[in-house]
Order: sequence, then C-alpha cells, then structure tokens
Amino acid sequence: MGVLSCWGERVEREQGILPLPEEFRPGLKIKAFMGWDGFEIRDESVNIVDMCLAWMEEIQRYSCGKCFPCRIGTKVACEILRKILRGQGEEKDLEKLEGLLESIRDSSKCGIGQTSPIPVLKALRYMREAFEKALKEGVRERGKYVFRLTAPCINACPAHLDIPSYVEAVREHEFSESLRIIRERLCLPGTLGRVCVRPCESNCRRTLVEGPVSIRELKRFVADYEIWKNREPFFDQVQAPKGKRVAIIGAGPAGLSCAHFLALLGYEVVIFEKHDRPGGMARWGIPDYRLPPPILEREAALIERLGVRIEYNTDVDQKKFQELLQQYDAIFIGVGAQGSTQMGVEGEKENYEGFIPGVRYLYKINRGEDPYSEGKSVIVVGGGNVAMDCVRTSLRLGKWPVRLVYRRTRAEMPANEEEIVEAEEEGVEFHFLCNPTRIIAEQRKVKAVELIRMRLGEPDASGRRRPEPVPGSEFVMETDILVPAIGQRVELPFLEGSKVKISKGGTVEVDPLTFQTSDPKVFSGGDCVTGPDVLIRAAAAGRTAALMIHAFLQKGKAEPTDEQLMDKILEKFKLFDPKEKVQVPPGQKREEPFVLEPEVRRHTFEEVNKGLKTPQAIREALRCLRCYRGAMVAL
Amino acid sequence: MPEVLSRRDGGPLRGMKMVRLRIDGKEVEIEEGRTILEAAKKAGIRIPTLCYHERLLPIASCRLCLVEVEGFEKPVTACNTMVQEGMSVRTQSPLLSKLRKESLKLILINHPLDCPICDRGGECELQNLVYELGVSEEPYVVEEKRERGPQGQAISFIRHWPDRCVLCLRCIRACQEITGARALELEGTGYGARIKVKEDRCLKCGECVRVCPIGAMTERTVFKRARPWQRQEKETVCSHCSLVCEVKIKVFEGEAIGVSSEKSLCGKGFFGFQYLNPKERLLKPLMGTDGYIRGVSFGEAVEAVQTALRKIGPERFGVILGGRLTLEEGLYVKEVLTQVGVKEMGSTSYFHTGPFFKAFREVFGEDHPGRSLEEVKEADLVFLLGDLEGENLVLANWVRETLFKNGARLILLYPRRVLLSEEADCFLQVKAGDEGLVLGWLIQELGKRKGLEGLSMGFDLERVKDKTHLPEGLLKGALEILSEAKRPSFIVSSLYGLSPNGQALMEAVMTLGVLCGAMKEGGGIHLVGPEANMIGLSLILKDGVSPLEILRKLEKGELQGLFVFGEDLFYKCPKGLLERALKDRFLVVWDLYLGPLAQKAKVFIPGLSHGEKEGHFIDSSYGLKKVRPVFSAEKEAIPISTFMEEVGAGFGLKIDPQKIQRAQEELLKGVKRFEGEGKVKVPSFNFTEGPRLFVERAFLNHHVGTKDELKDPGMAEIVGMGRLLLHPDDLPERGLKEVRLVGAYGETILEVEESLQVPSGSPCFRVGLNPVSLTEVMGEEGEVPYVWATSIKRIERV
Repeated sequence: MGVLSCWGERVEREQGILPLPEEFRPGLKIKAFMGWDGFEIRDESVNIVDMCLAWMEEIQRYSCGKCFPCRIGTKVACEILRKILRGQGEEKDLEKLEGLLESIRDSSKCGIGQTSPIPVLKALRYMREAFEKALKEGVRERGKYVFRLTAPCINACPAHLDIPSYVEAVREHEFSESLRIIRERLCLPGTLGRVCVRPCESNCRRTLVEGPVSIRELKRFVADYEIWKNREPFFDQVQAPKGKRVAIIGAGPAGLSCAHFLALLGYEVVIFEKHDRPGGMARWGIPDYRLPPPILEREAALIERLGVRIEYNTDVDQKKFQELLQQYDAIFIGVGAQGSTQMGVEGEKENYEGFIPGVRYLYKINRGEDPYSEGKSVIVVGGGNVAMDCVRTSLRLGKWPVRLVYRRTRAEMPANEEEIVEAEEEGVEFHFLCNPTRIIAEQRKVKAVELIRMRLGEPDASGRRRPEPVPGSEFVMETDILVPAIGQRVELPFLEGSKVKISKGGTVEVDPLTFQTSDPKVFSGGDCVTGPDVLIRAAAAGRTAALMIHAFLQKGKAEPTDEQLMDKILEKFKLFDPKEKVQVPPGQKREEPFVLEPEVRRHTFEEVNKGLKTPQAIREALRCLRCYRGAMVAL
Repeated sequence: MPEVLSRRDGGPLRGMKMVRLRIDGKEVEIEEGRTILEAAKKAGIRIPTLCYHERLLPIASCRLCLVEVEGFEKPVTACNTMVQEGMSVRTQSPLLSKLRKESLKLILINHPLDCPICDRGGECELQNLVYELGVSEEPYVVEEKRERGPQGQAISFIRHWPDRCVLCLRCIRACQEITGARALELEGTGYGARIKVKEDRCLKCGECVRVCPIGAMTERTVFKRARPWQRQEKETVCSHCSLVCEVKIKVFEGEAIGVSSEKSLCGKGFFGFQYLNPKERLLKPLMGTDGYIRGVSFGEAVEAVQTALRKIGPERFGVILGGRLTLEEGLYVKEVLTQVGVKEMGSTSYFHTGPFFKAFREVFGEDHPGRSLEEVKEADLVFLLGDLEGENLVLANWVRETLFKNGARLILLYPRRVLLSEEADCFLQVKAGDEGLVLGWLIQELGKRKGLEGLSMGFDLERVKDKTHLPEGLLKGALEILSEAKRPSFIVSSLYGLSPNGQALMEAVMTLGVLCGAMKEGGGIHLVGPEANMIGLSLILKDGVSPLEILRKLEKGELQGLFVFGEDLFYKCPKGLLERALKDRFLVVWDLYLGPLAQKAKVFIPGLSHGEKEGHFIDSSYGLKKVRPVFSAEKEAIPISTFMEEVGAGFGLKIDPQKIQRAQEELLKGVKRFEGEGKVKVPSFNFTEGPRLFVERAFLNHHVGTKDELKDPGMAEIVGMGRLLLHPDDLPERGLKEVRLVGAYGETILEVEESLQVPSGSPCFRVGLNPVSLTEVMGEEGEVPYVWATSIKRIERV
C-alpha cells in the first residue's frame, strides 16, 4: 500500500521519518520497521497485517507474564490477527482488537504492554484498508522479520545488559539470580558497580519522575551480597573444549572480558600482562578509595578459575607478538592507553623531579608508594576523572595544598559530577580558566608553574566553547609536584612490522562491529581502539570480540549478529526523551548509599562509598518502570 | 525515607511526616511513604484488588487497583504508588471501570467452570470481584487450552490447579519473601507462563495455599469439606511449639477440617490439626491390676488414687506434667497435690528450659529474661543457634524479614545447612558438640577487644580452625560482626541444652550476650523450643525437679508412685531408665490414648484434648496466649481440674477456682523485662572426639500419634518418619536403606538418607513420627536426656 511512516505525532506518506539505514546487512534491504511508537513501511511488498501479527507474536514471546493485560491480552490480539490472516475475520474483530489494544496500552505494568499496542493501533488507523482487504481475502504473504527487545537503559549501555531484568530480580529478593543475569554479559560486576559512568542512569525514565534508578548501586549490591553471604559464584557451564588457543595481550577490562567469555565457550586462553597484577587501568588508574583492590582481584581470580592463565610481568614486544601469531589461533589486543598526552609547555621534556604524568602518578600510588615524597604541594592539570583521582589521592598521601588547574570552567569538566563534588568537599582548590605555559625549576626540581588566564571563545567541534589565552595575564603558582592529567595516548610499538593497521590517531584500526583488525587472526578492543574511553565500553568490546573470535575460529568468518545490527540501528533512535511526561506520580525518592564524611575520608584510602543496604536495594528496585520497548525490521 | 515498602506488618512508622491527600473528594492524612491503597483503606474507601496481599510487597500484576491521579493522563496502580502532599485521586470512573472489567475478562478466558466443586467457592476473590464489578460477558476467545495438571504437588495435601490459576503471583512471592524457600517459580513467558513447583525445596508450610486468592492452590488434609457458610471458625492457639501462633480452626459437624490464619504458619500448625478430633480416644477410666486392664467408674478410679496416696504416702509420689498443659491445669495439679503432701514435681518442659534458665541465673542473676521475640524484628544482628526450620518455622520467617527489612546480619551456628544458611553472613557449620570451640574463641577474642584480658581461655585460632574446619575468614568475620553489632538478638533452640555440655553451652551463649550487650541495648536472648507451654510450666514449678531425677528416685525406690499428666514419657525419656523406674510402681496417667506409658498405668483417667479445653499458655515472648475450646468436651472426658478436685476432696481439700485464676495472673506479673549487665562466665567444656549425633524434630506433640498409630495423617506428611541424615562419607556401604545406630547409650535401627547438608562425622537424627527409637539412644545420667552431641560408637548395616 505504498510508503508510510508514522512515529510520535508525525505521519508522512512518500518519505521516511526514522533514522534507519538502507540495508540491514550488505545486500539485505530494510523493507519496514515497527517499534514502540509507530512504524515505517518502505517497500510495497510488506503486508502490514502480517507485520502486525509477527510483532504481536514476538511480544507474546517476550511478555514476562507478570501482569494480566499484557500476558493474556496480547495472546488474544495474536489470535484475532491470525483469524484475520486466515480470511476468517469480521469487521467487529477490528473494533474488538482496537478496544483490547487500548486497554493493554493503558493498564499494563511495564513498557512491553504499554508500548507494543501503539504501532498496531496506528496501523489500524492509518492503514485500515489493508486490514479491510485482509478481512475479505486473508493474507498470503508471510514476511521475514528480526525482532529486538530493548529499553532506554539497555540501549545506552555499551554492553546492553538486561537492566530491567536484573533490577527486578533484586526487587524479588533473588540477588543471586540478578548477578547471574549481569554475568551473562559482564564479568566485572563488582568493579563496574563501583566505577561505571552509568550511561544507563542518564537514560533512565525514572529521572523524569524523581531521579534515575540507582542501577549502578544495585549492580554493586548484588555483587557484594555474594561476597557477604559466602555464596558460590554461579557461572554458565564451560562448554566442551574446542581445541583452539587464543592469546590476549593485556589483563585490563577488555582483555579479562574477552578471556572470560572465550573460556566459557571452551577455548584455551592465555593472557599476557605487563604488570604484576590484573586489571589494567581499572587497577592502576582508579584509586583504592573508589575501587578496593580485593574486588578486582576476586573477579580476576574467578576468571582464572574458568581455566584462563595469566602470565604476569610479561611485556609483549615485536618479537613476542610474532611468536604469538605463530603459536595461537587468534589474538586479542587489549593494551589500553597507557601513555600520557603532553601539555606542550616549556620544560615538559626536561624530566624534572616532581614532574609526574598522571597515569604514572596513579600507578605509583596504587602500588602503595609515594611518587615523590620530597614534594608537599601539588598542582594537577586537567578536568577528567584521572585528574580527580590525582588530586584526591594527593590529599590522602598528606600532600598540601592540592590544587587543580583547568583551562575551562567547572561546568565543562568532563569528570563525574560526584567526583568533583567529593573533591571539593575534601579540600581540593580549584582554579578554573587557566593553563600552564612554562615549568619553573631549580636544580632540576620543580619549583613553580607559570600559568596564563583563559577565556571562553567560540565553540569548537565538540560543541564546547574554546578556551583562549588572555594576553599578558601570566602568573606564577609555586609547587613541588606538577601532574599533567589531560589525556592518555595509545602506545603500540609491538605492532610495528605486523599486518595490523594503525589509524591516523595512533589507535588499532578495527571493524566497528566485529572488532577484527586488518589481520583476520587479530582482534582488538577497548582504549587501544577507541582512545581513552569508559570501562564498560572496554568490557563490552571484550565480550563481543570473544563472540566474533568464536565465529571466526568455528566458521572462518567473523560476522556481526542480528542482535548487534539491531542495536546499531537503535543507537540512532532517541529511546530516552527528556521532555516526556512520564505518567507516574513522584513519591519515592532515590535511595542514597552511605558515604564517608569528607573529614574522615580524606585521610585514608578506605572505600568512600559504602553501598546500599539490603532494604534500600529492594526499595530502589521497586522504582524501576521496566521500560521495555520492542523493535522489529522486515527484511 | 519510606520504610513502608519494606514493612509488611502494617506497624506504625516512626519519624515519618504526615501527608494530606484527597481520595474521591475525601481528605485523608497518612504518613509519607505509604501507598494510595493504604490511604484509601484508612479513609474507608474500597479499591478492588486481587494480587495485593498485606504481608507481601506490592505485586501489581492484576491491574485492578488502577486509579486516576489528577495531573496524570494515564491511570496508575494504587498498590504501589506512594502518596504525595496535595494529591487528588479518583477511584471510580468510566475509564477505570472499563479497564478493571477488561482485566477480569482476560483472566476469565478459559477459566474452568469449577465453582460448584472448587474448594474456594463462596470465599473466592475472583468470584467476589466478578460479582462486584459486574462482568457478565466474555468477548474474547483463546484457542489454546490449559491443562488441569497432576494430583497434588510436593505433598499430597497441597494441590495446584494450573487451569484455574490466574498468575496473580502471590504464591510465588510468598514462597520467596516470607519463607525464602523459593519452591515456586514462574516458568515460560506470555500466555504459556506457568507456576512451576520445585518439590525438593518445598517446606510444606502451606503459605502458598493461605495466600492464594482463588482455588488455584488448595489443601485437602481431610476428606470432609464445607462451604464457608456451613462451617464455623473457632479461634484458639496452636500447641505445636513455643511460639504459640494464633489460629482459627474450621469446624464442621463437630470435626476440625482445617486451619486458617491471617499470619504466617508452619506446616505443623496448618496441616497438623487432626489430633484435635481425637477419634480413637479412650473415654472410660481404666485400672490395671495383675496384667488385666478393666474399665472402672470415675469414682472407683479416684478412690484407688486416694488409697494409693495414703498407703504409699504422698511424699513418696512424684508428678510429671506434660509441656503442653495449660497454666490452669498445671496450677490445679500443683495446688492440690502439694497440699496433699506430694513434693517431687517436674515437667518434661524442664528438658527444654532447665539448662537455659540455669545458665541465665548464673550469668545474669535473674530467673527469666522476660524479653519478647518482637525485639528480633528490630535487631541489626541475629545470632542463631538452631535451625528453626523444623521446629519454629514462623520465627525463621521473622528472622528472614529482619534480614531484609533492617539489613540485619545473621550468624548461624548449626551443624546442618538450612535455608537461612543462604542468607547468613557467617554460617558456622560445626559438628554437633564443637559449638563450644567456636563460642569459646569468640568470647575470648571479643573479651580482649572489650579490654577483658583475663578471658584468655586457651582457645587458639589454629586449634579451632583445625577441629572445626572453618576458614579463618569466616571466624574473623563473625568476630567483626559481633563487635560492630549495636542491637544483637540471640536465639537459642532448646535442643542445644540436651547435651552433657548443654549447660556450659548455654552459659557460653549468655556470656557472649553479655559481651555484646544483648540484654542491655540489644535485642535480648531468647529461648525457643518444641513445647507450647514450656515457659509457662517452668514459671509454675519454678523449674521444679527434673523428670529424670524423679525417674531415678523411682528406680531406687525413694519414690514409689508417679502421676503423669498429658505426656507419654516413652517418647521423651530414656527408655531403659523409664522401664526400670516404672517397674512395680503405682503409675497414674491422665491422657487421651492408651499409649505405651498409659499401658503401664495402674490408673488411667481419660482427659481432654487440646481442642476441648480453655486455658492459657505462656509463649517464648513471655506473652499470655489463650487456649479456647473448639469443640464441646466429650461428656466422659475428665478435665484435670475435676480430677484434682475429686482427689483433693478425699483429703478434705476444697479448691477455690478464683485462687487458681489469681495464681495464673500472678505468674507473668512476677516476670520483669530484664535489662541489665551480666557477669562474664568463662565456660568449660568437655570436648570429645569422633562422630557425634544431633537431633531435629524430636519432641513432637505425642497426641499426633506414631508411625504405628497415626492419629494425625497431616503430621505424617509434614514431619514424616524418623530417619538418619548421613553424609555419604559416613555411610558404611553404598545403597543401604537402613542402619543400626550404636550410640553411647544404646542402639536403634533407623532408615537412612544420604545428605550433603550435614557434615561428615555429625549425622542428624530427624526423629519424626517414631520417637521411640530416639529414646533408645538417649543418655540418662543427667538432668536432661542427652541426645545432642552424644558419641556414636558405630553405624553398621542391619
């Protein structure tokens, strides 16, 4: 019946409104799309009635069964649609269907029931003729469809964890089950439950009621509960050995993740790690007061229990890399971004005492050492989480005064808001709109830094206003220690002379969906591919790469799955609408975990955030709205 | 912060500010954190619900409680939406009516037309709602039908009807939130979703049956059935354990046909009620002479008793009271027989209370703690010695609720892995008899932290680890938790007292309590056990004499006569001692049946059943609970009061019932809530090597019968027959079904069950309905029968 696109308030004929690509896979066009707020038909060969039935059948399959209207109502809708397709439908069936769908939409408990009737209702409204035709003749064409169930939080999460499911398990007091669901896609729940930047919470619809659900705290809660109650961790069964070996370079989040999922699939995995403990940037970059080492150690130990071997103190150089290519069936590179970006100021390359790049500064501290015990005062340059870690750990070492210098304003700082607030509470001095120009040293020791004031000019490519130096506004700040923490660099000396292509930015070049490099045997993910990025993305990449390596080793070819392709399409959709008026009266405030007072915590490396207590976790889980939404393409 | 969504007892919320809202134009004031549904209830406005249950967190599956809130386009469910200041709610409207009816129509699709045969007919929420909301047509059709399903689930008395089930999910939530058994789960998605029963996890407590709003989970303990308008419901209390839960007995045609309760119950209380209908009871006084038993008149029997008292001399008579007699019954006996001149009085309840109260006196200098188990609900640490699952399940539910509601921690010290072990922060699984090692070490270390250096008792950590095989982290963890606890509650099962080390163990628990401040700011130290009135009888007799001591005196001849009221000592006392004690003695038994003890009686008086009397129990919370008659007593059954009055009359005694009444009232007045310091008593234990036995479910109400004389089939299913739970390593040969257990004091033959939940070297004697076998291995030399941590000589094939 031609092209029709309806979504939200808009209805267009002859032109599409949805951000859909042409093809699902190379050579496979997307003929139509159906989702939680409407549908778009691009190809006349798609029969809307058949598509509605396929949609309803998928919804029935995914309906959790925990409320009457959705569980039974969508089944009735399927049967009515089936009847229509068989040519046995009557006019009153259409009215019945409409009435039923409206009831399901208005009375269901969660997103599945609340949104799945909408596209069918719109189809009945805007493509009534197709239904009328089916009443008379039935429908013979049966299309081919791919369905994906998602939610704003699931979509935002780089690992696409089934968040509403694991949150509901907490509500039902099934904490082990919650952890099991998380572990289907993430092997570092305790770690991420403490440090994840939580894109999910930024996309949580409950934000529009009182505040987002504390998804990260709940993840941490169930991970910790297993430890408190001495429960045996439950993993999926390790599959039968495949007889193939995979080498992983780097025991950071990406490497550990890849190893975990490959081991579960039955592969022999060896990780080669430069340092003497696992964790990568999570271990050496994140201070103990945010992530106590035992948590990460335990999660790495659980991975080792699956049969993964970690070879510590093993640096992989060019020669070793070539050896690995010979000895192993596939390689995953997860070396992260270990180098520091230079500030570009005079005196930077002089190696003065007291000048310590951020990553190295934190590494030393995380090993329990004072990076420069002679020095007392500290200036840290930067505005990200690494800079926050540097200033807060400096306080805990007893350094004073501890100052942060950032070239833009507080509002533009990329660090987590809670990190900034906690640093302010602990007594860090913030100096905004200034930037170093020169390091002043005496007898090869840092004595002071010359800074210049900045002002915000026109916005740059990222949309933030460019800082410009104000001429003649130089001033000097005395300090013993200067820590640049303005960014990290990827260092890949071992790939020289290999088939693995390196991008212009100095990162490993990979296919964005398969994580395969230009050498088909070699895969890579995490910071060494994206540049410095968030932990969860590295962990997600590790898992996906494992599945791709598995496909490569079993079928000879690494190809993205239908689920990955659907998720990629959905990334362009705005599942979270900050302007939506969520139909839930506010009344239950977000639970806050117990956090140590600034005066107590600034002196120790004890964990600052103590997590939620059991009744808090259950109450918090009750707030989740289960915003599941379906999406389906016709191929 | 709204606590309410974690509280299920509807109790008052402290420190919450009040919120004003309007429902249907009516103003309501209620605490912040409560739901619209609760506010409506307070205002007396009815909102229809099906899946909502007071004791569960809101489920929101039925969607019937939808209401309209001003300012919001879509209706919201009242059961889980919190109130807000100034909210305006409408509970009735055409839209709401349509949506509610729609929900009902959907669940009525393929709902079988079972009302005439369904047990819930007349008391079915679905019937009520369809009637109330006026659903009179079914416009929807679904071809797929639902199976009726097999007969019975888990136990033959609980039946699930999948075709009736509307998946309100109450049963799953109850099995999850209340008992934590998690025996029910939702399987499948969409229309095909079903309740799946995991039989091996079922506790047979019947919680699912009690919460089911319709006839999808039913119980069929007895054959007789009655509609709600045909039967009566009589309030009384359960007599199976010292928690003494309030119950309603369903009575039809003079028979008890079921039990109901708004609160939690256990399987014993819910299914084990048929002994209230004693069918094969005796209704004629008997006398046994020269091996013959003949029926006599009551007068004759009384005369024989009076004669014996005079001839033998009252000071040469002993009295043993059963632990489930009412206070009034106990007081009558005490009043009359003391005045007649009998001095040696005891109760089998002493077995359960003696060691505990003696220890309490030692450490705290008072007779009774006088604390309530309600305090457990406010604890931040529960220290539990006992499984609770078998004997006092309802308390296990309270403990569980405290863990989830308060975030309280749990330290569990018990040989067998039980449900609560899953939620324990420290599950100290030690072999029976090794508890002293752990307690001793904890006392020593905790004492050091409190600055009491002199407590060094030689409990070396390595030694404790070596003997108990507990990891160091767990022991140190327990120590940390104990030192951090601000409101610890200690719960002790009386079974721990039944050991040669029992007294010392109790003292150790008390001392640990002292170091934690349990009796000061803490949540008390509590005793729970298997007999309903054990605390009450202990108060009446001020402990009294141990029945074992009485038996020993009978054996030696210092006593020549014995009164036993409402107990069968052959199920509770060491067999050998008992048989020797009763040889040629004048035994008077007041009871219902001719059990093994009554058969040896010279005089047998037929007594009242628990369902026929009126009186009081004192429970583990020192609360007074009223026993009310469910049936009118049989004419020929003789109340203890009558028996005692008649006996006393022969000695010129006249009993004033008012005096008994006042004595009953005085009992609790004499108990104060003890809140104070105690002294630290360094316990000394005798540790033995080798395998040791422990017991569960050992002291059931003997009126439920035995495996040979089953009086209560309900109990047979719940409790089952006795068996030995044995770790596979301890089994002498594979595939054995029966073993001979040779203990330190005797031997017996038992069915065996392999179990990984018990540690190797510490089998569990789960007594069940053949209690006699336990008495064959009981130790007889102490004040209490030794069954806990008694040595096992060998286990061999029969």
